[in-house]
Amino acid sequence: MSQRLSLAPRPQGFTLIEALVAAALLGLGMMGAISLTMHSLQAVGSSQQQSTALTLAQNTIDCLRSGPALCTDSSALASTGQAQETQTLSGTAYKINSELSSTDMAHLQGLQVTIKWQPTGSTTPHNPMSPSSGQVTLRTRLASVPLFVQAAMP
Amino acid sequence: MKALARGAITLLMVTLLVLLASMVGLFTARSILSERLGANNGVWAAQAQQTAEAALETALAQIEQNFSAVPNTFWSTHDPQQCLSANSGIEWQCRSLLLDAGWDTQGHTLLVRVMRDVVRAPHVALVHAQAKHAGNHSLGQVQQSVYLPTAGPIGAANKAAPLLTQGCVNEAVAGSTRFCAPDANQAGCSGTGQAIGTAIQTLYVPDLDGNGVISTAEQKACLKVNAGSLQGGALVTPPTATPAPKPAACDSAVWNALFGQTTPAQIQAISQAQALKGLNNQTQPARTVYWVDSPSEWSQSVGTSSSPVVLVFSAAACASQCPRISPSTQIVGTVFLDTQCQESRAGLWHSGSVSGQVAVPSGLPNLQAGSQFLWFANHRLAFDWPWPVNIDATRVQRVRGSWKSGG
Repeated sequence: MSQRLSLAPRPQGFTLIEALVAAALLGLGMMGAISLTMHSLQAVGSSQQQSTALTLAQNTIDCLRSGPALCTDSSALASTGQAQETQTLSGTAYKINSELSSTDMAHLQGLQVTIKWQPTGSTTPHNPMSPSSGQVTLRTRLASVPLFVQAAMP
Repeated sequence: MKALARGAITLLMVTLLVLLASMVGLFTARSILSERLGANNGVWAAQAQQTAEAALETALAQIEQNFSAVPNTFWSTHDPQQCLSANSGIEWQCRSLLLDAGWDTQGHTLLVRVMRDVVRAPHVALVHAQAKHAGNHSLGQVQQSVYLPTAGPIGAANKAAPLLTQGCVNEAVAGSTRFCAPDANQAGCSGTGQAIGTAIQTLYVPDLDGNGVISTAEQKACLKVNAGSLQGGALVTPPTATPAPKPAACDSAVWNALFGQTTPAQIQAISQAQALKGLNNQTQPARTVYWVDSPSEWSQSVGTSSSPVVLVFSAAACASQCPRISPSTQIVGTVFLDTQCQESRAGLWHSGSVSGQVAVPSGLPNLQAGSQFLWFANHRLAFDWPWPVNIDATRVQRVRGSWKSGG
């Protein structure tokens, strides 16, 4: 009987310790998984923002190719060589900066379109020099070679 | 023992769960990595594409600048390595265009090629630009066709006669030549009908009596060709007196009537390009433009009804006397003698057998026996290149609908 009393609690205590270790392990695992999920969500959001910014930049260039008057502040672009606008998409504000510059050729202009935005999860003020900053820049050139010129009638 | 086993099983289960969670985490991490890589690739691809477009635009501006300065030197070379596989036939002339790539701060390797078909469309250049970045494996390609002022639209088709002159014509031996005017089928001497069109048209007849009107007598005095030679074809002269062509300032009325806005220098440049490509009457496609500076007699039969030629005997070839065409030689297409409005340079000329049109900016005195002039309606195909209606052919312009990316 005394042998029964002395042996009975030992396995029960061991189970409790194992359960505690298991709970700790599970907790650590869950913390890692939650952290990873949060990070994943942030990364996916950031990629989506980058894709949106890229599309905006490409649209802006296409628009400027087809004629500045149709798509942006043409008077500002013509007078100062710069135009700015902000578009908000899916809760993110994208600042679009279009810049025309002269080149070494008379009939050729340089065009740079920069899109800046506040990346997902970032609470710090926007800093374009920061590696985590949201910014996409596309550079191209525009020649004034026309599509069709009507011959002067005699 | 049972409780101990329960604890071990719990620990095992938890370990498995943690392992499972780790695996899920690993896959999630991989997915994040590929998502980021995809987004970055998108940006790099867009940057390469925009750089290729910038290279194309720079090339177009450079071509425009070049053509306004020295139009006939642009196509003086051919580099077969610059031809794309779809444009590698013998008729394709290709060259690269060197660009100052200092404006590309992203370190792309730029390549611009310019190609044209020297037979079917020597006035259209296909400009292909490529931007490649070795570091991030991005590649952008874009192409566009442009009209070049290497030729122009041809003149109106209102001078349908196998011989067009700007002066008088007579045979060395009466009735020894042959003129086949257009018949009802727009063919000459096809045997299917009587000639109903013009055999000889001249833009100048001397107004001998000075009354300002060209009479039948003046017409006959100027175009002394036997009725047997004309074979029913008509003679057309201006109804009223026109200014005599001046050798010192030879006007280009005959040239313009045929070639329209295409200049002699442009025809010469296209001829040189076809020669540079090794085209001749045996190749496929055959050579279609011949600019001849040699005063030697021409004895090569060239041109077919499906591929007529244009043969220009230049002012240099006609410096003293325009080269004769050998009696047995057959030409299908257009022959132009640049006599510089001097009748003496076309004296004693022999035409061989020309199916198409012979044009001379002067008269043709003493036309030699056996000369044959047969009308062929499509004789201008060799230089009738496709142009949009009313286009100003003196400028570099983009061809509508020809822009293509990733090509």
